[in-house]
Amino acid sequence: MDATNGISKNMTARKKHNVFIEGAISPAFIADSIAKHSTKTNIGAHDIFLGQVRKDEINGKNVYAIEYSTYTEMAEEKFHEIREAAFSKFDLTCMHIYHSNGIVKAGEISLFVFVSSAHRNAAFEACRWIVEEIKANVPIWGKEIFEDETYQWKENTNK
Amino acid sequence: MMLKFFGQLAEITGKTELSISPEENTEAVINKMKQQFPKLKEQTFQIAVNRIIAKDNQQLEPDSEIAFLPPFAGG
Repeated sequence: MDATNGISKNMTARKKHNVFIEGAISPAFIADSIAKHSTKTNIGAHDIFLGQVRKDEINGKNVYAIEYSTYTEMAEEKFHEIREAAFSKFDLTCMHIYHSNGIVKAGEISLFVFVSSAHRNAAFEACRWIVEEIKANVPIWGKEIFEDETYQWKENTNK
Repeated sequence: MMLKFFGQLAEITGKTELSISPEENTEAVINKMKQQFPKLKEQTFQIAVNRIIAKDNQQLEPDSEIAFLPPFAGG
């Protein structure tokens, strides 16, 4: 109980951000996010990670799409913890994280991590760290749907 | 107390939420669910209590929110 209260206190420290986007993250949305940073002239380096749905072949069947689902309340708290930790660990100017919910087809983008800093090292290191944290600690699940409409549950690897 | 099931675990139990009579700790809840849904015994999962991953056998309050979480697949 105390731990939960501790987190909700922390959450007032910085405003909550919406991470989840219904369906795929469009290239236009990503381009627009980059463009919005042109006014922030203290930034010297951006690093971006984009996760794309792979058309894996499993037992002779191709993945057509992934249907993502989440434990929303816990995922939002986790994303918030990751944001707070990244800001204290790395010298970042700003950070944006977006993840899809629902159906994302093979070839489309489901994760967009965007970090900015004065110099490249902080951006490179933070981006990698954030992606690994998301994969390991945020309660998100993915159903890999095959072209014949059968499916299997995806599990993250360390690759 | 309220239980939540996600992903493949919601498919096995046929439920996303289930209200049960209070149990003292997470181990008791897990055993109860494994008895009710034997297929859970074959599954890998973690438990979250009030949205925080439980370590070992955690004590519970009657109003605890207990979630059964299969392996994560975000990204």
